[in-house]
Amino acid sequence: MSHVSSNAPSNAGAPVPSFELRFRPSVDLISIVRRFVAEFYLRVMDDDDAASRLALATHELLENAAKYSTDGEAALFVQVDTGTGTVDVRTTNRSTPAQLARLRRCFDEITSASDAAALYAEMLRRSALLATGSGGLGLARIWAESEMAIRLVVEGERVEIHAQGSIATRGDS
Amino acid sequence: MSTDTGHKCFIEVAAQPALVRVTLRGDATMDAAELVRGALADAHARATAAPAREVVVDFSQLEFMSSICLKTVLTWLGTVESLDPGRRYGVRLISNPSIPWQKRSIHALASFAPGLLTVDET
Repeated sequence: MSHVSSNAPSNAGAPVPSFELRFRPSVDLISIVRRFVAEFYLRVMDDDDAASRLALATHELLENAAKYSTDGEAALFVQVDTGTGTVDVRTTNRSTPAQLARLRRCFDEITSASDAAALYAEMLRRSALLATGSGGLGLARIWAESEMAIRLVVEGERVEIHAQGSIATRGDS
Repeated sequence: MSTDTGHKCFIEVAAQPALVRVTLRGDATMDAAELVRGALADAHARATAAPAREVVVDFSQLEFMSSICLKTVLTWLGTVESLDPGRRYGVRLISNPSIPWQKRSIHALASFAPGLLTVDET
């Protein structure tokens, strides 16, 4: 695993807490990374519940990347912009055309839904009937439980999934 | 039955008078999905054979559960719901409100099976 840290400037010019991990996400490593990012979020935001929501989103994205990466590699980028009060979590991996098609269908359903809770309830019902896989339940969970918007970016066989949300930071009253 | 995947996920199924208890500890993530499925299948077999009044699922020391294991729990709840009323057992889930993810995820589970699942907090 390589670890690249950065302090990109925010819109206001102040450094933005962020980091990027490039690694081969084994299941053991995903849990370790989840604990690490939970600690990172907690230090930046001082909010247990928000840190837990972000850690959940990070874990779901990483399990997704680990399951579907064709070369076994994935990247995780996390940025918490305390100036704008936004957090951006994204994973990148290479995937197969069949998996890309499944992801697109899943994102089409999520982006066309108007209510996160209703979609999540529907996906819970649907996933219970599946013999294998969870049918996009992890992505719906990010939207509903982590309260983060999700976005899919595909370039060739490269898949990037963003989860973005609002945060309260240490400076907020 | 007791299964330990190193320090990550520990699952125990124990039969007691009129109930079966499933205890999960640690991280129930993608590598533990089959263990969770097996433990719940074991609990189901014991509960229907006994028969038991209730299966207690103890999440009080479960640090995290990813969606693939959540799906496994949902499938089991669906199986219990599909039993004839005379064979159906209740499910009581013990949650720990100091573990933040449980508040939202257990609410989702309870919404999925409102007539079947009751939730107690430690």
